[in-house]
This record gives sequence, C-alpha cells and structure tokens, in this order.
Amino acid sequence: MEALSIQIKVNGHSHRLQTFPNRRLLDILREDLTLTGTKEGCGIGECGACTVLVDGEAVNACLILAPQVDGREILTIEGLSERGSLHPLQQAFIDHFAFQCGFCTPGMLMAAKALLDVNPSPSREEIRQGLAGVLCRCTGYIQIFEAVEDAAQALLETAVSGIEGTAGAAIAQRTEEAR
Amino acid sequence: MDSLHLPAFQYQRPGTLREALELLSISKGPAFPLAGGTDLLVQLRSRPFAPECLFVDLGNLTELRGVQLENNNLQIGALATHAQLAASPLIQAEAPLLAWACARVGTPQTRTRGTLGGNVVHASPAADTIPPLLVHEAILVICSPQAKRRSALDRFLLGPYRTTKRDDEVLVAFSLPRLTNQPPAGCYRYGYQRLIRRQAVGIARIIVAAALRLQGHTISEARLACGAVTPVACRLGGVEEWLRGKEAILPVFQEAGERASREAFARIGPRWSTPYKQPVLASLVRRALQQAGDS
Ligand SMILES: Cc1cc2nc3c(=O)[nH]c(=O)nc-3n(C[C@H](O)[C@H](O)[C@H](O)COP(=O)(O)OP(=O)(O)OC[C@H]3O[C@@H](n4cnc5c(N)ncnc54)[C@H](O)[C@@H]3O)c2cc1C
Ligand code: FES
Ligand code: FES
Repeated sequence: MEALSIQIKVNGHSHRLQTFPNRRLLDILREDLTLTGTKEGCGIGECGACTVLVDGEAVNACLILAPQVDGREILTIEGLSERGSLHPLQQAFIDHFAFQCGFCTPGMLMAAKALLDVNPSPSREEIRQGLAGVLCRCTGYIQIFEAVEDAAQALLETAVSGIEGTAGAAIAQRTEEAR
Repeated sequence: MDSLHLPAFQYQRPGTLREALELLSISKGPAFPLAGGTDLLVQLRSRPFAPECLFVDLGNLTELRGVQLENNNLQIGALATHAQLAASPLIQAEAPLLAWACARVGTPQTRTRGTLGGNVVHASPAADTIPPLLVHEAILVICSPQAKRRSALDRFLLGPYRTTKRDDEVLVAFSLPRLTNQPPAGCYRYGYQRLIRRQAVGIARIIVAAALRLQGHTISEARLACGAVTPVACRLGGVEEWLRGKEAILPVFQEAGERASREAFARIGPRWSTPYKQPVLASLVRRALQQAGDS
C-alpha cells in the first residue's frame, strides 16, 4: 500500500496531508487534525455519529476514504460556530435540552445544518426525514425536532431582519403560515 | 492497526474510463470499481480482502453521472447518486418509480454518496432500485478494455449478490426505453410499495413496483415487479398477462394481488415465512395497483 498526498479544506483551513488510502475521512479528522468532535459509533453508516458536510452535503465520514475527498471542502462540528458565537442550531439544542450523553449531537447538528441549508423552513416530517440518518439513544428525539424548528425560525428571522420593510415582513408572515 | 481501522488494499483514482478499465484488467489481485463506497466500505469490515485487492475509484469520471433523454431513451450514468436521481425533474417525470425508490434508499447521508450503479452491481435481493428498473426494462451498458456490451437487467442478475459483471468491466450507464404517454395507446400510471421495519436504515422485506397503461378504465398493459421476497427481484409475467384487458377496478386489483403472491411464492417454494409473507405481498400488490389506477 502506497502513501498518497491529498489537499482538503476543513472548516475554512487548507491542509495537505500524506496518508494511506485505507484511512477514512473520519480517521483523518480525528487522528491527523485532532478534530475529535466527529464521533465514531458503528463505522458502517448506520448511526450517523460521524456525519460531516462535504461540499455542503451530509455524508458519513466512516464510509469515505481519505483520497475520495481530495480537493473537497469539509465542514465539521468544530466549524459550525462563527466568530466565537454559537450557531443558532447549537443554541437551540441547549435551550431545548436536546441531548443527554451528547454522543449523537455533533452528527445531529451537522445533519440539521445540511437540512436547513436546502430547506430553511422544514415541516416536522421533513425534519424527521432529514435527521433519519442519525440515531439517538437518549433523548427520544422530540427535543431535537423542537430545537431544529426553533433554530430554523431564528435563522429565518436573522435573514429577514436583513431585508428592509414590507418584503421582509411578507416573508416572515409566509414562513409563519407555512409552519 | 486496531479493529476500527480498515484493512490494507491497493487504490487508484484514474482520470478516464479507459484508464480505469486498463487498471482493472492488469490488477494482480481481485479488482473492484469503487463508486460511493456505501456497500464496499461496509464489506471491508465483514469479509476478508487480501492486501493485493485493488480498488479503482471512479470518482473522477464525472461523465458517468449525467441524466438525459436521448432518442426516446432515458440515459442514466452509473455514477448518478440516489439523492441526485430522487431530485431530478427528468427522473420524476419519466421514471417516477425510480425517483421514489431512490428517495427511500438508506439515509440522507447514504443517498448523497450511494450510486445507482453500485446498488445494481451489489445486487442485494432487497436493492430498492431494482424493481423499478425491471419495470422500465432497463438495459445496462457495460465496458471492458476490449468491448462495450449491452445487457437486459434481468439477464445481468444471476442470484443474490451475483451478476454477469466480470472483474475487468465497468457499468457505465442505464438505458431505459421511454414509456411514452401517447393516445390511443393510453397513459402509464405508477405505484410503489415497500414493507420495512423502520423507514430509514432498514432492509426492505417486500418491494412492489407497478406500471399500468390505461385506455380509459381498461388496462392495456401491466408491468409488475417484486423485490426482496424472491432471491432475485423479478417481473410477475403471469399476472401481467392476466391483467391485460381488465377494468382498472378494486376487485381486479384484489385478485391480481392474490395471483401475484401465488406466482412469486411458487418460484421459491414454501419457507417458514411463507404463510406470513404471502398475504402481505398480495396486499402490497393490490395497493400498488390501486395507487397506479387512482393516480
Ligand atoms: C446505512 C446504509 C443503509 C442502506 N440502505 C439501503 C436501502 O434502504 N436500500 C438499498 O437498496 N440499499 C441500501 N444500502 C446499500 C447501498 O447504499 C446501496 O446499494 C448503494 O446504491 C451502493 O452504491 P455505491 O455507489 O455506494 O456502491 P459501492 O459501495 O461503491 O459499490 C458496490 C459494489 O458495486 C461495484 N460497483 C459500483 N459501481 C460500479 C460500476 N459503475 N461498475 C462496476 N461495478 C461497480 C463495486 O465494485 C462494489 O462491488 C444502504 C447502505 C448503508 C450503509
Ligand atoms: S460511525 Fe459512521 S455512521 Fe456510525
Ligand atoms: S444524547 Fe445520547 S445518543 Fe443522543
């Protein structure tokens, strides 16, 4: 087995790494970059604890080989907060007590982020579908769904407050009606 | 190396299909094309792979990802992902059964990575996309270093996890003859039913995909495929024949369900689970036909 070189961007920082092809994205994140927020539960795609975003899409970091992400942009839980303040999803998870042991939380947050990026005001059913790839053994999920609903609202309000006057109010009203 | 890590293997990431085929054919050990890896990386943990096994990563072959309509054939690249196909307006319009199936494979995470080609080549009896592809009579386009061959899907599948694909071959595309909706022959309507313990991350116990061509209320053509009940997903030709010329009404769908179930279970012989599964398959077929008839 020959080592190979890959170039990736993780949470905005570029890295060139020497690695072996049998190492997974998960191994690189946790061992080479010491980004241990991304967890390993099952290692076979079933629990979602290893969920990260690759080019904006949610994937299982345990099912991707390091060379398969060469040239790609990766976002992990460590890159979710911006300029030192929690992401609205993180804040909502705290407000709703949406975790107990916390092992599923990084994966849940990243799956939720991927969902809200494409669907800013999901229905409860869409949230359930969007998070179906992450298992939680503690909470019973309800607090998690509520947290995602709250975060979606918060994100929309932030977006709307940036738009002036009636257009913003109309969007806010429409999203309220859609809920 | 601890148990969390993957065993050693050889790896190449070619830039062209020709290179990929070349690498597969000169490999010293067994060679595997690597697409999304959602089956292969799981298998790496559950069965032995020798260190000389070669994985040929197809990830750079972006030309194998497209979806288009060409001369009345729907062409789908083997590397098209489930997420991509589920969201494609062309697939939703031309092959809604396939769009439904792709939207149900695994989890959002596995749909981002998993490909149609990988699902079919892995050839699990419970592969979600196979019954819809059988309904569409999909033709597989397969390349080797020497030649390009075309194979009907039902001939490609030999048994559970067994296909006619050789080590030096790459599946490049699926070609689905378009089911045109032109009068007077009538319009195609579709139904898809799936029985599973949990909607996400489960293995389907029974899959039914149906297409009915309707002229008014009369069925001019029926296509019915089941998956997960038989060792290889298959069309149920006897019932299809029986349905032709019948009215699209509930009692007909009910009887078709019973007939379909008898036909499927006659193929595999009695098993301990037959008394449980037989009535369920009958209901799912009835529901799929109703869904098609009502749509
Ligand atoms: C958690 C989880 C849930 C899942 N749920 C479902 C489900 O609900 N329904 C379902 O049907 N499947 C399910 N799967 C299985 C899997 O995701 C699909 O079969 C997927 O489509 C495989 O595609 P891939 O690109 O990941 O294949 P890979 O793992 O890359 O390859 C699979 C096999 O096909 C071969 N191969 C791949 N592409 C080609 C090609 N172009 N030419 C020649 N050979 C090729 C490989 O060599 C390998 O043998 C699940 C998997 C996981 C991990
Ligand atoms: S560790 Fe990746 S899905 Fe469980
Ligand atoms: S909080 Fe413990 S697994 Fe979700």
